[in-house]
Amino acid sequence: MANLALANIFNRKTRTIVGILAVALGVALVLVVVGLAEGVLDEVADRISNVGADIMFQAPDSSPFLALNSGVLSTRVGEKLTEVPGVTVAAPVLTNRVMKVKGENKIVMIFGVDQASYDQVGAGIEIVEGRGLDGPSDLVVDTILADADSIILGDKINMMNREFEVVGICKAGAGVRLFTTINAMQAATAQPGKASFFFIKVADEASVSDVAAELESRFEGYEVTRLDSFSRVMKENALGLKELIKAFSLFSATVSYLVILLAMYTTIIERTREIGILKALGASNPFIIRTVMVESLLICAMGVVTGFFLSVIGRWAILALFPTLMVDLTPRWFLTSAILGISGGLLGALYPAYRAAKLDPVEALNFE
Amino acid sequence: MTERSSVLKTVALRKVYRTGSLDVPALQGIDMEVQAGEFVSIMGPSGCGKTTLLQVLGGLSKPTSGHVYVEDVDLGSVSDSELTKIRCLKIGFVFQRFNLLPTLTVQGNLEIARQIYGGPPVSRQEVGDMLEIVHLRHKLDYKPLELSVGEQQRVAIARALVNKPAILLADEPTGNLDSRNSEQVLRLLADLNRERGQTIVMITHNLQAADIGDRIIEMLDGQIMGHGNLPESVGEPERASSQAR
Repeated sequence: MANLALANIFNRKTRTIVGILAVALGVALVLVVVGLAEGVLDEVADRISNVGADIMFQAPDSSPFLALNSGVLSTRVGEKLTEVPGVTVAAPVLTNRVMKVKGENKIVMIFGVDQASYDQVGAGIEIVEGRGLDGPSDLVVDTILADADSIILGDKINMMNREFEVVGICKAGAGVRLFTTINAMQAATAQPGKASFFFIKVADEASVSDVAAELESRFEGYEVTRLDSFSRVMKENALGLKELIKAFSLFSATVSYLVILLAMYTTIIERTREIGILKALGASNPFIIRTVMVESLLICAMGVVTGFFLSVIGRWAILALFPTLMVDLTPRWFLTSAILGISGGLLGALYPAYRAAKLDPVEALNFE
Repeated sequence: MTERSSVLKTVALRKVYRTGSLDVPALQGIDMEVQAGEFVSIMGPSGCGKTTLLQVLGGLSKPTSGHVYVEDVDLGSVSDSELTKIRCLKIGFVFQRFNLLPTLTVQGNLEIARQIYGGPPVSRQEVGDMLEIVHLRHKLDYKPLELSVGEQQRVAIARALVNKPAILLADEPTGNLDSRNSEQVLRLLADLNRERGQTIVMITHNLQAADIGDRIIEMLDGQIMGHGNLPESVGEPERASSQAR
């Protein structure tokens, strides 16, 4: 069977390639940007969840984005927390952001912890090289950051206007990438006796909800977050994330729409005579519309598949260049981006298809 | 003598083009009839309305007034979709500029004519048989631009025959061909008419080409000036000059 749409695609290679690449770009952009946004959030949320605590206890109006909070809780709150039935450990953590590591600009969060209580809430700091936190200038770095910035034991690193010494390398995946003692952090940030939040361990996993409810009741207005839902809470509180995702989705669909509109419109003008021939042969308007739409659909479909490949390559490139970032390419967003790319393209093909169908056969046949 | 049925008939056919505020009459009351199996040549100088007449006969263009009947169906009384169907199934077009689809192979160009109306797919054997009629079976997989102009026109004729049309409308089919290719195409049309009984209406300004038909309709200024055979309808000096070409 003669397939006019396929024949046109293969005979107009430049137009086809440009169309495919433009749709692919839109699809890949959505996948990578959304994947990056969600990936980083998920990775942070996973690391917090992987600490092994059951509940996070924060001051009122605190953000689940831990780097946004300062030390507004007294460490003595921990004593009151352990009085709540079911709470076995309340480990204070003071957080801060480091804007440079070994002279290189990057934003890394650092936890100031009391390692003894921190280790009791769960996995703790799992040292793979060197030792744990002890002295006021001790610093533990996780394996990913150590690899990315070539940090080794004994390195002296200046941060927060102090010199720290790398005394240990810990397994990545739980908590943050940098740890120091809570005392050192309090001193460095001039917040003596303060903590940003507490990790709480509950004696019986089944009673986490009850303990959380009890904490909410005793500490009215304080933020009590179950860590098994931390990822969802973070996404709900990520200002602008939904808008960013919507903007890129709209962008992708618009790119597909405009590119296919332009490509197919140009094609229709270029092929006016051919459409006249088809009409002279007895082609109906639906046949003409179908031919144009099928051609657009094929270009969009190839663009979507190319976009998938580009996003996988993009993910690989991002992880190679920025090992501390994460890009989550999820099936849900593969499907969403495919729908956006194809629907945008088909919408763009509608007008050219309609125009082609409405061409007067005699005028079309005389078109030069 | 057996009585032949009317395949194509026009009654008081008029077509007026409007250019700005000016009405330009292209056809002025054409009455003609073509019987099944007839080969009619329509002759006349440039601008006399030949091509417009062919477009109206083939349902590509609507007349301003009057009627066109294809196998007794008034083209003016049918819906657009029915007209499309008639154009597809009852009428075959052959154009001066061949009008093959350049992106498709010869086989594809023949297949598309069947595909357009949703008919059963044409087998490769069937396409080959159609091409055999125009002596181009060996060019099945060629693209139009890989063929000579004469071959392209023969493919266009084969394509016009795919749906076994009641009538073949040929608009200056030799207009873009050299004399050798013109001769081949004309012989082919004559054979189709004689051996297969194909009804043909051919527009030409070439006297020799017109002469292969059973009947010649001579047009001037959008009107039919005469019907008949070559010697009666065309002046000798004009014929002589054409033959000398």
